[in-house]
Amino acid sequence: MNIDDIITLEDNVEYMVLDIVELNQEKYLYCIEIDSEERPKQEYKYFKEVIEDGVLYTEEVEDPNILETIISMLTMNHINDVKNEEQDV
Amino acid sequence: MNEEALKETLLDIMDEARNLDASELEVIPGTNILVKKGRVDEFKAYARFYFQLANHVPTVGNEDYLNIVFDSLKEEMVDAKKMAQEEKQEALYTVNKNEIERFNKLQNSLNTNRSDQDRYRKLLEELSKKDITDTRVWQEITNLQNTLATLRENEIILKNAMIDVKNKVNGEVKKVIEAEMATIRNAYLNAKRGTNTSFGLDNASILANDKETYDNLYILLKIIENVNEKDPIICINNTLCVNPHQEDAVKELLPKIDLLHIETKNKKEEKIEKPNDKLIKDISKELDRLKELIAKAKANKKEKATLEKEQEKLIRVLNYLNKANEQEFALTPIWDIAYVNGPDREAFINLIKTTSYFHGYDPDVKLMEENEKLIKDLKDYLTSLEDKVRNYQGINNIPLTKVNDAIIMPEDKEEYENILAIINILTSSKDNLYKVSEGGNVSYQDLAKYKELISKTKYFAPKVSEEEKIANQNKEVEKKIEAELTELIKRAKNTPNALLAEGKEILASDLEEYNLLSEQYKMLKSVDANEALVEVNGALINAGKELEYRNLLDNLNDLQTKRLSNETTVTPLTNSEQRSDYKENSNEALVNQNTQEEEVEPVPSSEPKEIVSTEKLQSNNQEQNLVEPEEDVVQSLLDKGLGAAKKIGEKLGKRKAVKAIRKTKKKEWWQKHKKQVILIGLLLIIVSMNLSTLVPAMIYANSCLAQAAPLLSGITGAINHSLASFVGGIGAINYNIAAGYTLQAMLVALGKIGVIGLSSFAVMKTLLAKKLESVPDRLPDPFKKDLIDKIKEFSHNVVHDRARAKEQINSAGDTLKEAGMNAVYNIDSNNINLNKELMNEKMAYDASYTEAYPELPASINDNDLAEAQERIDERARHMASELNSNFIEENPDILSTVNNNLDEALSSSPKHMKEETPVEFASRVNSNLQKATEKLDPEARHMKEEPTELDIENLPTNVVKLPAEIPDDWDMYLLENAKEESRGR
Repeated sequence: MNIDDIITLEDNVEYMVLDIVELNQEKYLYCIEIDSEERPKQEYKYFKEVIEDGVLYTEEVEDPNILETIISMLTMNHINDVKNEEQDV
Repeated sequence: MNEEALKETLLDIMDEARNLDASELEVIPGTNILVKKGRVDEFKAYARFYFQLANHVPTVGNEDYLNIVFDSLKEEMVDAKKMAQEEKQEALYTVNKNEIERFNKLQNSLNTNRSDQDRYRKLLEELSKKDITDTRVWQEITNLQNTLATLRENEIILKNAMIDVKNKVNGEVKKVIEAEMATIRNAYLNAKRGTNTSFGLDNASILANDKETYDNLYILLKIIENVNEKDPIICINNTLCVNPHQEDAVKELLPKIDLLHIETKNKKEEKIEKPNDKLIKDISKELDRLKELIAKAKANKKEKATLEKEQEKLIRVLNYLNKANEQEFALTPIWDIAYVNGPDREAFINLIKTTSYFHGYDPDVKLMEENEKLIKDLKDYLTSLEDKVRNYQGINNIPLTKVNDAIIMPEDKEEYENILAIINILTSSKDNLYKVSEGGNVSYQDLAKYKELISKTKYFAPKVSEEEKIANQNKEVEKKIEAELTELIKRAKNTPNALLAEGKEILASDLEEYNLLSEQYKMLKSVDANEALVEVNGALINAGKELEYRNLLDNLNDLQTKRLSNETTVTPLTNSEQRSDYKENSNEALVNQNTQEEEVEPVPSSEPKEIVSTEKLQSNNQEQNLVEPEEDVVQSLLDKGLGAAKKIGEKLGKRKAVKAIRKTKKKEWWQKHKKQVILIGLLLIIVSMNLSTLVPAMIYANSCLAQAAPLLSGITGAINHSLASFVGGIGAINYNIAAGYTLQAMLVALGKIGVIGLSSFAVMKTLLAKKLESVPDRLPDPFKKDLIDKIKEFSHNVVHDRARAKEQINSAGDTLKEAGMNAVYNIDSNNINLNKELMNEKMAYDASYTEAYPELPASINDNDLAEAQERIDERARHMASELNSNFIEENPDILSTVNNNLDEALSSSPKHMKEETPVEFASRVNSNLQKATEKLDPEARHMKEEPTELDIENLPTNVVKLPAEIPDDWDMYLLENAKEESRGR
């Protein structure tokens, strides 16, 4: 999975992958649910990418400490992005 | 490009992908089709045109055509390959067929020759034992020797002939194998860049996909080349000729080589059976038998005439069957044995009905036999009705009825008459019978009457299974238990502050009753229909459990009676009816109470399949979601009954498989809005998790984005109203401040999950508070290395994926509003607490670190600590006073202004989102929100300007400031480390 991919889960709900961070060799996805027209809905999700027996799964992050860490990392990514953009302008 | 050319191009792309390495391939989004990287759009375009041309469809609304085209071409590719293989097989088979037949004949001759030679040698030996001076013996020996010599010569001739055949056969096979191997080698020469290649056993360069086939062909070739002509030769699978010791290897190889797998060829030539073949054969046999019988019955004219008649009919039958076989027309099955043309059906049936041969096949005959058995059973049943009268023998004044001379009980009169009528119909039913599911076979004209009669009789009434009987009888009792259990739950709900049973939704005082009811329910549900049954108070129970069940009822009844006598107010309790014969007095009271209770919705009695949790009833029960397994049934019923079930498994953390991955179709939209979508989501989670340390990052990010579209400025302006005043205004927050706070938050979080160990954590914090570059020299190894590694890893994680597209702003309706509202309520107060906590944590770590590493300077001395504590207290006092006075006073204005402007900006957004372009929408919302921002926070104007660099030395004293020793580019140091690390990888 990559940033900007649209993933469809087994319940047929689609998510846009907004960002990905790595922590302890695990990939964590920051996603938002989208509608049929690919507009964002109100559901933001933080998934862990799990590959088991060759099948790709997402698992919602439950551990508040992990969540807090990846949110910090995502926040850092975000401000770095906007800073870069600001410099590019 | 025409359809054919398009197809060829598509096949070419597909074939190309088949041989490429996975790293060279790319999935066409939304499908599982793999093509060479960079050819996705090309394939899609060709496939689209091809689909349109092939299906005469002018436009294609979705991308389903991709899979349709791919599947059809793939099928065609396989078919074409198969057809080519079959053609080669056919050619080889045709060439070698005659030769192999010849080889087999030669082999037979050789075998005969050898056995003759053996025979003659034995004779020669025997003759040699005789007197060879005898001329006749001598002459015979000479003849035998001559014959043997001829045989030996013949053997050589046969052998040579067989070798010739072998050479011809194997020569053809060799040609085919070599041609195929050459084709495979050519495929390598024509391969494109990125194709997976390999080497054959002969070191030839080939495509990896062809390796197995190529090697098998090579091995077979070597076997053929090494056939020893001096050894016996055999032909295998009508394909090639080898030595017997090579047979196993060849037999193993041939099935793996499609080209030479000719075995199936012979099967294709098998004659196709026609529908009446078997019957024609059987009738022909019967005719032969009749012919013999007729010949034997010459004297008996009558018998002869009968046989001849049968013979003549069977010949006519044969004509019908042959006609159907040869000139098939609307073929109709007759009696599951013959097929005739539709128009011949009636005549054929009438004909075969008159034959002896078909008598056993007549379905009516079978059905009439069934009827005979049923008639017998019905007559027995009538006798049983008549027998009932005998039970009353000797008793006077019993009213009796007479039907057809039979004396029966009056209540059986109708039944008796109906059965008689049924027997009459069955007896008269002979032709074209219809099977009635309830029993009996009758002709069409009697069908309606017969069905009416059987519907009226008890004899044909549906048989109720034991299981159904139990289920029906116990249903009522089970319903009552369900109602009682529901009552217990209700009672717990209606009794606030009472002690609940552990892990249950009922009062602790009701636990025993609850358990007994559950047990009773389980016993009723587990009744085994195959065991003996007894009825206990209206319920059917297995005889073996009767005592247990009765004891349970006694205990339950005692318990309920006791509770009733203790209760001063009228509360629940029901389900006493079924125990009425035990404690009648108490039961009456219970029944009365039961009727006063409001009706409970019936609960399905089937066993539930899933465990459910119920609405939390009491605070001391809040952690209890799962029901103990043995109580699943009851708990599920209760939950269903109350309609308050709430499925578990809906909680977070559920694993879901990813069905598909694709790229967005609205790339432009996402490029423009993604950053704001990200910002809003982060803001939401930061607020909901009280991660106020990350708020400066949000303010910074928003201030940057605000230059393009200050959508969130109203919100962040409002939520950070208080915070901003401590950091020199919102506009004062620059990247360093935001990143510093974010890193601080990240360190705390990483420390919590153990990514950075406790000691490292303390040092990391110190490092951030000191000059980073000067510290490593002072750290002892391996601690230093560990720490540096961790910093690098940490930095890498932070910045691992910075090379991303430039995205911009977004709008996000209600989410935005919700974020604003939550933030306004929570952020300030949470911020105070968290900062205070962080400062205490920092001080604690610094103290212990200083103790462990006395050579390092303490990051905060006693005065600093006292100062810091004073600052925190001051800040807390200030915030508290602000919350109590200014903020609360300002709050309604802020809230109402935010609300009004947000409503104005977003109320029509769902409708407009589809009608407006993103730019128009953003512009409209921005304009409205900007008004709100300006009203709310004059400082928000700064956000449109370049953020002012923060003077770290002159920060307001009540801020948990970043130490002055940190170089301005300290964050960049981390980033550079990460970059180097990435490059190193």
